[in-house]
Amino acid sequence: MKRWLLLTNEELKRSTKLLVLLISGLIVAEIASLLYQIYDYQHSVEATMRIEQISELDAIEQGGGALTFAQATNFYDSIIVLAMGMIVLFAFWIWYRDWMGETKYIYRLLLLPGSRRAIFASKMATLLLVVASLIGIQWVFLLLSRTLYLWLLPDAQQVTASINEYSFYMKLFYTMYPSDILFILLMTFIVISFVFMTVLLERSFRKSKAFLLVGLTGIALIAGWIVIGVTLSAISNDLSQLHMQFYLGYVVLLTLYVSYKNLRLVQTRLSV
Amino acid sequence: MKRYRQLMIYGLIILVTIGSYIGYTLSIQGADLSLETVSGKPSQIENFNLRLQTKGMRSTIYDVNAEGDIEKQSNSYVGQLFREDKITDLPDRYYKFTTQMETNVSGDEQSEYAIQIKHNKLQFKMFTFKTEETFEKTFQYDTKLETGRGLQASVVDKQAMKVYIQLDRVDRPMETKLLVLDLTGDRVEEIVLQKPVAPKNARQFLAIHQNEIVYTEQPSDSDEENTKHSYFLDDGKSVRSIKELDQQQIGYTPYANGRYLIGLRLPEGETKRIEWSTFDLETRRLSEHSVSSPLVLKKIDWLDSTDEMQLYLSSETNAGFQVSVIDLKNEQLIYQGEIKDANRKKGTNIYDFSVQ
Repeated sequence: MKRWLLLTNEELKRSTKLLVLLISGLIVAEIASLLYQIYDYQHSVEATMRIEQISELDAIEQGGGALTFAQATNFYDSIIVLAMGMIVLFAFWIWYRDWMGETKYIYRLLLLPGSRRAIFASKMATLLLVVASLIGIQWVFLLLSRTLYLWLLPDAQQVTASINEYSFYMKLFYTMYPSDILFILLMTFIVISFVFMTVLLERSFRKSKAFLLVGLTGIALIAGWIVIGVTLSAISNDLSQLHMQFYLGYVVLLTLYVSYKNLRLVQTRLSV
Repeated sequence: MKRYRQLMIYGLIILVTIGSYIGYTLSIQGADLSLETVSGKPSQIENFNLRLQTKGMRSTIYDVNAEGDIEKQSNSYVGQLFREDKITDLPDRYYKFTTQMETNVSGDEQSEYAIQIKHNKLQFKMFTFKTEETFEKTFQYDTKLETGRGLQASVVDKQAMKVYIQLDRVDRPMETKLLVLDLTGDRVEEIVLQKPVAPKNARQFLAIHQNEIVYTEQPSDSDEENTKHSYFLDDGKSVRSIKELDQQQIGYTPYANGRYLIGLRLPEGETKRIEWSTFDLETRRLSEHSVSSPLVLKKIDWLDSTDEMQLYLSSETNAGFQVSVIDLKNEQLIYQGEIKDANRKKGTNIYDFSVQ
């Protein structure tokens, strides 16, 4: 436990610069996008007023109504998708960086006394902590964005009621059910487990064998969906919900197996 | 402690930010729904299910029935995964039949019908939602045509053991036929009408009452919604135009084995009156009817009806939602109940409404 905590702390320390850069980048991009949307909207209203010689209210109506919060934060979706991509890349990076440099860090890690499982667990915990903190920071920033939206836009140009309506990806993350955070973290764990497996197989076997094994796991993921679907449709026609439940159960079991294989690879096969 | 500095920083960030999120979610008030009877008694009507969904922050689904029971279903990811759908599952054998390319499916709130005409046979299958029973029978029907390939079959009405089917040739609208299946026998009969379909027109059968048939005709290439329909009554000897119905710009639905044609006049805005026109095929007279609603009804979009000519309708009101049951035959409001939200949550809307 102590070893795992120390290693997790070490992983976080080594990632700090990168993560600060990622979080700062996200915040700057979101502020910039919000300011751009607000400026662009106000500019178009003013232009309509000037050209058409009409009042502000008429110009707003002509432009399709006041700017909603979801419209103002429209670019947040793309930024969140980018952040999710960065997390996946980070899941690769957290392993590969240990093999980089003249004094390979992986030497030190693998030569540490005790079980190597702590190495794997610390990298997984690091990623989950990063994801959880990103979700939290994004939430706080969403609240700040709402304040900024209400502050920057004149009353006639804002829809106060719309501050509770987010864009598509925001709704996926902030459903207002705290239990969904755990569900999102479970999904993160599943995705990261498969990324870790890819890295560990690539580091443990010849490339051809590693790719074959990764491909087989990919096939197992897709085949599970098809086999469960075909089996259930042979039993009854309306088991789509059961299909989803069984598949989620199957993916969780497959993830547990992948995690076990990952631990075995770290313990027995991983070398410098 | 210094050795765990990074961990503590991240822990603190998560604690504060996710904690603020959880605190925020806990401060959100859900809907506090209750059903109040405004008129009549719930015991006099059939059970209904009104499904409401709250929008915005923490979307939740509420099922309200005639007894006033309110069932709340979480809309979280796990909640969605294990949510019970109150939709009647179709039996597998029947469902597989309906998914075949040659099968035409039609029906109403009470029953669903699947017809397949192929290889000189007419296969008829029927599923009744309330009893969850399936009926099926195959009839000899000599034709070279097949449903799904230029032929379209749909049930116009089912009266006791007789099923009336409209058979359309997709490329030849003038060759529309009216068939009758006797479910106790094995024959398919064609009802010969007194007047062929007018050139460039399409015919739609509306009601069959004893030997009388009501149908509409409109130009075959016209837009269904914006075209004025011409109504005709074929009594087996002659055809007469039903001018009274032509003048009304509303759609008619048959009730009571086709004896009554009822056209509801539902306003788009607010109303305290439900109005409808009834055409009685026995007296051949059009009469106007209405009932007053104690509540102001807004946006009446959800309707269902029973064989007993009872109309179930649900809509928004000034204070929430309502369910009304109207006896169309006796021109009477049997029941009205209002669903109010003590927390007055905004953005709630009707997701589904059906008579159980």
